[in-house]
Amino acid sequence: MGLVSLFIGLTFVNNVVLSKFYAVCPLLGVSKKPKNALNMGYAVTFVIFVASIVTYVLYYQVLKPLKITYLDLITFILVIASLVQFVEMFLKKTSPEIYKSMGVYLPLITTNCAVLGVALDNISAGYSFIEAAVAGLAVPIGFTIVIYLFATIRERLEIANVPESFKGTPIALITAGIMACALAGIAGLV
Amino acid sequence: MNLWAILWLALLVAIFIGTYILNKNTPKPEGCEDMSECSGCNNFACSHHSAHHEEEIKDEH
Repeated sequence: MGLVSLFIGLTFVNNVVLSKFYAVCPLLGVSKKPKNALNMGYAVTFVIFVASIVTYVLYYQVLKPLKITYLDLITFILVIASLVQFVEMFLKKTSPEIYKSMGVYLPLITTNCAVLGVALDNISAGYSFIEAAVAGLAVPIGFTIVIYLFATIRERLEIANVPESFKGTPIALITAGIMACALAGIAGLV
Repeated sequence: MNLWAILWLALLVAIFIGTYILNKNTPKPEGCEDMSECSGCNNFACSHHSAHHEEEIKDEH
């Protein structure tokens, strides 16, 4: 039950995008088409899941025994950057279509603060290995759901009669705010 | 203790450089040669901002 609560909590209630404002850059940048948003979500899911496991193991098996835990931030940044390079190389070889649809946003996963945020939160929250793995899965799934929903709403907003001064990013940010209010309503369930 | 920290950092940097070089040497799929332009946000400092892309095109001509 604890793991289920953790999963639902991190996916919906404490959604990193809408409650902590991590990963707002890809949320605004890659949410113009639902297909691209979904592809971004898949790539982020893979990177966050692998990064959270790798960083957790490195922290407790390398940094802590060597008493160099003060290097956690730079270690996590370099591990995430290397992982993104690896994912980019993998997609270039195996899925040119996904690579093309993600375009410039793929290398920008390196600067997606949700990836680093999950890795650091796993350590600061004192999660066990299983809990860190669940968090590494729940957070990007929450990100994918939000970015996909956001992309579908933005697609409809393109043809909606929005006042001139609200067109583009302003109405997108207002939409994100309303979505955050809606997800906060699930707080009582878990 | 500092020696471990230096060695650890050197290892991480070496891994990053290794993956970067491997990625750089992997040819891009057809039609993806020039994808550096991005209009996602208005951060002019970002090297992917479309304004920098326009400057590059002007310089080429």
